[in-house]
Amino acid sequence: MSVLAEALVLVLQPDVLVTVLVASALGIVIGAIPGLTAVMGVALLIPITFFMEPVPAIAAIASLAAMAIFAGDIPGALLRIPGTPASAAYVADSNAMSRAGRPERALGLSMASACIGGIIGVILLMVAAPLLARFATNFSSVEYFWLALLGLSCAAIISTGTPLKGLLSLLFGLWVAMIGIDEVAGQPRYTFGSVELMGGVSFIPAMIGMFAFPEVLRNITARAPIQTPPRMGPVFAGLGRTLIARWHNVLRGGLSGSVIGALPGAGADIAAWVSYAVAKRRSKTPEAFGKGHDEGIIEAGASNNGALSGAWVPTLVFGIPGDSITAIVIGVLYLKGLEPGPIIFIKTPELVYAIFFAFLLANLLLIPFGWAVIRMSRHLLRVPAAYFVPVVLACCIVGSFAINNTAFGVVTMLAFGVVGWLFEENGIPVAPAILGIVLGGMLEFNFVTSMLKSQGDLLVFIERPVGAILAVAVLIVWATPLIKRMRR
Amino acid sequence: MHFVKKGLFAAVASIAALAALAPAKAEYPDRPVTIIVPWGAGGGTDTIIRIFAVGFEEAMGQPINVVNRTGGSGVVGHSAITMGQPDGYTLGACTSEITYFDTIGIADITPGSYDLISRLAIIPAGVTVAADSPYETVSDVIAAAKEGELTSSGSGLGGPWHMAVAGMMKAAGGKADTVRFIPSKGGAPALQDLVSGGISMFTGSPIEARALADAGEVKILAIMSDERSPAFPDVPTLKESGVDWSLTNWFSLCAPKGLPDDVKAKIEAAAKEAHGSAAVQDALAQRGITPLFDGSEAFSSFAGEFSGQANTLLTDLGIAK
Amino acid sequence: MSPATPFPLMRLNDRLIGVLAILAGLAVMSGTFGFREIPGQQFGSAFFPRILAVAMILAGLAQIWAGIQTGGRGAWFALSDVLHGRGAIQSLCVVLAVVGWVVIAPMLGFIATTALMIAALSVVAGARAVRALAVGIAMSCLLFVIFAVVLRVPLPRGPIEGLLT
Repeated sequence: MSVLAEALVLVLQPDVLVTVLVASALGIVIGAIPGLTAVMGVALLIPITFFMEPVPAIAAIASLAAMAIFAGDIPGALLRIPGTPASAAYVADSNAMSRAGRPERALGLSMASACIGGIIGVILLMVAAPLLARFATNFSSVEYFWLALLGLSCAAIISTGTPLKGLLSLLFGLWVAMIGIDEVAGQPRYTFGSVELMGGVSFIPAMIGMFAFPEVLRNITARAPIQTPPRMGPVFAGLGRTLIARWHNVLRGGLSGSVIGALPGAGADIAAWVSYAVAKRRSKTPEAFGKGHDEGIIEAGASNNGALSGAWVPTLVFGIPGDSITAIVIGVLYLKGLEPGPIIFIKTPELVYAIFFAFLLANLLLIPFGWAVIRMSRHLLRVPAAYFVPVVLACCIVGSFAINNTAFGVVTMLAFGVVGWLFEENGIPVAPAILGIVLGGMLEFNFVTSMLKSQGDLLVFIERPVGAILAVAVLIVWATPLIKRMRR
Repeated sequence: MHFVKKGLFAAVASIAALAALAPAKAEYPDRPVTIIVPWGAGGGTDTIIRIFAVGFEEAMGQPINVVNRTGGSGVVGHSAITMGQPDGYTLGACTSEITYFDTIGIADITPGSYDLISRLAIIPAGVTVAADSPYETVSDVIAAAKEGELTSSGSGLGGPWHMAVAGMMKAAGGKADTVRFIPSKGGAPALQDLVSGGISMFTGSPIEARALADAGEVKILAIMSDERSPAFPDVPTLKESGVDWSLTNWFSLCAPKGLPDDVKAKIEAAAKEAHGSAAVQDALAQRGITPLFDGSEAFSSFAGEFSGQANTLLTDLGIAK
Repeated sequence: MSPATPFPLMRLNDRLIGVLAILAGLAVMSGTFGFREIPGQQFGSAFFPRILAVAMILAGLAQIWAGIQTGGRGAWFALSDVLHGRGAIQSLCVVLAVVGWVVIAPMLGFIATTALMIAALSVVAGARAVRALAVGIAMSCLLFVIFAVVLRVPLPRGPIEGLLT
């Protein structure tokens, strides 16, 4: 127990606490600005952490990421512009809830489920890190292929519109993911001779474009007088009751998110979509999903924050990053002389536990910070659209620029904005396209390398037990709408 | 409009503060210098450059901005460096890819496209297998590779760790493509695949494999450097096993072609000073990276040599255009 | 369908969406014939795009079939009359604003360009000019502080930024 006490002392230093507070505030700002994601925030924070001690450095990253993932729900609920692909899973629900005059409820649910999901993830990280890591190392390219396909299938089937249009949107996203230098053979594809396109289409500008651009247009051309913004009620009213009634959503979301997050390469995005699909499947009222229903928000909201903590499992135990945030973190760990690996648990257990406590702290801080920012966002709703919307557009431009420090990102945003607008116009959901862009590379890469390993034998995809189970799950996802159709 | 007023005030206040801090104009360098890193934040190249930048900032007396321009297996960032102004305010972190982009036909970039300042660090290749693999020494692996169907991974197709295994097999009397190479997106995913049983060996750097070796999940059988590494005193070199082959990947500081001589000399001197500082040396060593500073001339001739070697291997592999 | 579609500009018939998907599939397929094959590698750059192209064509056929099933006769597409209205001009201004930013920012620098863009768009959307300019200047400075100063993003530099740092 002395290790725990030592760790607690390490975390409760004034400099650590101040760092956590500042990083949390920064995380809120970054997450709430449309177009800035947790990953970008962490990447931008790295140069600053170079001058810090290990514990505050890691604590800063953990709290910034946790805050940013939650804060990504704020523009999602209020403006229908998800802050991150992970928030895109339930943006329809939370925005519908806001429009129905309950923005505080949508955001309160996001906040509470994010907090609980994150804590579930941390607890899992504390008690089962080596066990989970052991499980995760069983995943080879075959299992990753199925996992990517599962996430994509959920997005295509579950999103608004007909599954067929979801599929079309998904295929478009997959094609976009192929633009650039092919990771398998190193050949440029569909680049039309452009060096910028050789780097591929970054999903962040694409996502900002597809979600934010139609919103900007919609608001700037709003001919009808702007509807008086709904009054925001107290954030906590009825929150506890809902969460208790939906306890199984919270728990399932937090657990499944943490486990998916612990798989290297599968992060909060897949976790949120899979959890949303599970929630809809197990719900008594699946028809209410997408129209302002709470179950999806709760389960997917818990899941994406759970995944955030889960991603640290393989990172700390094996030095294999669990997602794009921890991929950046590994560099910082090494720099601080904290070489990830099982040794870190033996050599400096107090540091590891200090990291866990910092995580816990960051997730607990979600409540006060979340509450404050939800209250503040009320003022946002009062600003007339004529002033507000151009500023949102400016944020989108900066976000698109900052992802790769080039104006090409801004051009990408515009191009995808026009595409997203046409999509929405015709009832084609944009979310599957985004997930296609995010996961397309993973899908193709693992498919092709598996085929290379087996020299073309398709049996490789169902030979291993975990692979076979995932294959069945994908089959079920696709068979359900077909069977429903045939019955009709 | 309450929040707008607040924002305006904050903005004006911070600009005033900045203006007060602005340094007096002087000769080069009189404003911040940007270093373009063609790889992601937190990766090997990025870490080395950021460690170096801390010392470099002091030696140059100007802030150093490290900027990541990722994508396209490094093509995007490397071409961004060539397109920068050769005024000393845009520098880059060139990696071994510059020696073969042209060979494999994805971009007309060669070491000649840059003013090469110096190598900053090197990491050797190695041979690593899963803990439950039947091979105990690198000779076992090579013997099995010659008859059986072994696979290897660690980098992209034609990348440094692909050349490592190809060169090893050639030196051991096999053919360059005897071991089938499965491309991967870097060391970590390749190691994951190794542990899960997807491939038979990892030919990336032992440094990348250290955490897994400590966990008892993998065995490091050999290191492809000329001498044993102080970080792995028990791991034999390939040469000790009778295979005359070594390959070390390297990271460098470079600039767009056409720097004025005095600026180049100033950068090289400052880089040397920064690189030699205890802070930079210690931080690199802690990461298991071997620091190296060879200066502009030695580096340029080395790059030419490496280029030729890469060209031969990639032609053997059939990847060269 | 999503509850809040933007104002209608061009609504395509379901059958036309299917046709477009098939054309896209064919285009993706034809693109793969230009990819170089790597000797000794069975599955190269063209392998996955071809699978995708076939999937696109099949999904397009299904979409056409679905369009016919739901009695989707009528016009292939409908252009909205909004194209002639104020909304169209405003939308065009948004697009032009982004294009303008990309073109002008490298010359004028981030702060001036962004301030002008915000102000101009606000006026287009019906805001008062003076107030719009104030908001533009304040917000662009704020964004500059957050990104260029705190987070060290190399935003486009112009005369104003040159004075500051």
